[in-house]
Amino acid sequence: MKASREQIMADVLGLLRKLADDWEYTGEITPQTRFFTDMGLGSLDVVVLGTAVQEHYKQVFPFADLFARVGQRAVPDMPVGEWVDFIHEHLDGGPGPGAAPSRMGE
Amino acid sequence: MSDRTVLLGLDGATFAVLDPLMQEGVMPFLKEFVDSGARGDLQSVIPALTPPAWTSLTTGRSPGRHGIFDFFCKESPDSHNIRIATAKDVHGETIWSIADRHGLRTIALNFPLMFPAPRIRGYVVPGWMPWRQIRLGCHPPELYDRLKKLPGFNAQELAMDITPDAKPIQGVRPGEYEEWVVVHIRREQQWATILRTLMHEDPCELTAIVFDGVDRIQHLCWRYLSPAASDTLSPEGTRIRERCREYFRELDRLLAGVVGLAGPEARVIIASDHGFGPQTGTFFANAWLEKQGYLAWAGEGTPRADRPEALGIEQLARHAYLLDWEKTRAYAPTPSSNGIHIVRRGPGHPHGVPDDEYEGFRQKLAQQLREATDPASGKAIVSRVWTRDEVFEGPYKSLAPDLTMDLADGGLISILASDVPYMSRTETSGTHRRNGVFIARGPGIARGVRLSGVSILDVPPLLLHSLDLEIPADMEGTVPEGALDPSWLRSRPIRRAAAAPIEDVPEPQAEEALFTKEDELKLAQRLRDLGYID
Repeated sequence: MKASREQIMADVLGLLRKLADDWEYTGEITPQTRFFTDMGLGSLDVVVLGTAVQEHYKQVFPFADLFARVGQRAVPDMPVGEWVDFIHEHLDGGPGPGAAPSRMGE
Repeated sequence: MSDRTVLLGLDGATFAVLDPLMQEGVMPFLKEFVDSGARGDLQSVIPALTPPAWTSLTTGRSPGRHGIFDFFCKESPDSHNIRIATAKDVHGETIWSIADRHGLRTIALNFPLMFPAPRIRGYVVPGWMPWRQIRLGCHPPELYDRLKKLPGFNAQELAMDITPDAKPIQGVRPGEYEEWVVVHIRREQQWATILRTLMHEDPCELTAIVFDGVDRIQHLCWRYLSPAASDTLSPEGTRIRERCREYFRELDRLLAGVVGLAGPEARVIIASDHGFGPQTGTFFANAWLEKQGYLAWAGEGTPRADRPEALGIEQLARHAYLLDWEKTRAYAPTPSSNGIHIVRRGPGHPHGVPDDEYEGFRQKLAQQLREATDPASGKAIVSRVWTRDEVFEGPYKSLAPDLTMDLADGGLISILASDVPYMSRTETSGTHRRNGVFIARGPGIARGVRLSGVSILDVPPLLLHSLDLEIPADMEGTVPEGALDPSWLRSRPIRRAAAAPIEDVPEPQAEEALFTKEDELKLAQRLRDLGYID
């Protein structure tokens, strides 16, 4: 069964908040938080996050299309919510076998 | 746990550096270890680079058969786009997967291309991960929370951080060297603490770790560390040299601690992925291709080399935007593989080299590279050129560069534009060589033996034999029997699996890249730390 947008949002926010605790990032992470400007991530961070998402859902996502759109903006950045929308839009099904829906990255 | 086996990886280690350090008393444990075991040069793969070499050491396959040629990989054989290679790009079973299949457990720390981590029995902390994401790489997932509680834990120093990690190749400012070496001392201490903790709390049959500061320090500090350098150093150079020796002194202490914890019943193998030597110049491969008429830049703004040490690490993955694809027929996309790719004619590449001209084109280009000389000295720049058919036989060779070079000074190419195709370096730095180190000691290992002809592909069969496991038929190497005590070998004959039927391997297919399309240029500029460093 395909995960709902709400499930994906909860998974992604949970993942980012857990990681942000490791970074000692003190800001609040919400659907409006931007990856680069707000959280200060680098490209390799996003590559790894994308790989973790693909590993969780056992599916390759066309992230290049998303970044192409983002790259055309005056400020090339995106909020978490946009990333979640993209994942939801391209998701074929639920998490892969053995993956707990609320434990992305594990 | 009678067959406990430990692999201590020293990234880039060479006897050219280790022997003097042992003789001068800087590494007393290693000297005693070598004297009571077997040693020999270890021949690495082509290219002698961290990702393909460690992958060969952990799979027993050469690059054409495991699919890793660089820190990066092409999306597909005909694509210009590259992306960061991950564990998903490694083809072939690893020693820890094989151990797991037989119910054995592994601790594997700081190896490249281990993310996403394999879900094996035991513990994994991948290397070459961005520090903010180490949690995602840890297996089992709760391991990271255990690491955070260790004294002195500092994720930013433990992990690959692109800014300091670019320094070994492109240099640091005067005055930064000593602190930079000290960071690597702390870094190795952290990895050793993690290893000792896991070994103490939950020992596994196979324990493996890479200490990669050896490589980084030799890249940057070769001119201080080289045995030939000691008589000519300035007072500052002498201080830097002493810091480097401090690093090796501490590494020796850490190795002693791990081997002591493993106990006398453990077989311990020390191996490097490649060796090291001096690099005296820089070959600007794309600039040379431009002068030969094989490459054209897309326009203004092409990044140019401003100094001989500029390899273009910041420009990785940008060739797709920077080159004029109507006029470019050959290019070097990364400074980390010494590889040249030929643009083949096909859908999306109407100006590429037609199939019926490809072989002639490739041979001509290879010959021109062999004849390339430094205008200043008249000396050859390139010592060897291989076609991928010559060195990358296997199902994944179509992903390899069309041509792979050895430079005359053993160095790495630059991918930047330059007015001249070759520049002598103002200061000698260190770079990879094919001959690394192999040392083994423990029950069943011959004492005081010097070996020759050991391949990096022979290490995984030896590790599996040590674990009393059968060696898969698809491993290309063999157990180096000269390293073993004959009586032990008689009591434990080498078991090699029968060759399995050869399966058809599908042609590699395109995957989605994250940072590759032309429209991404602005984002790519924002994301300039994309990537690598060895």
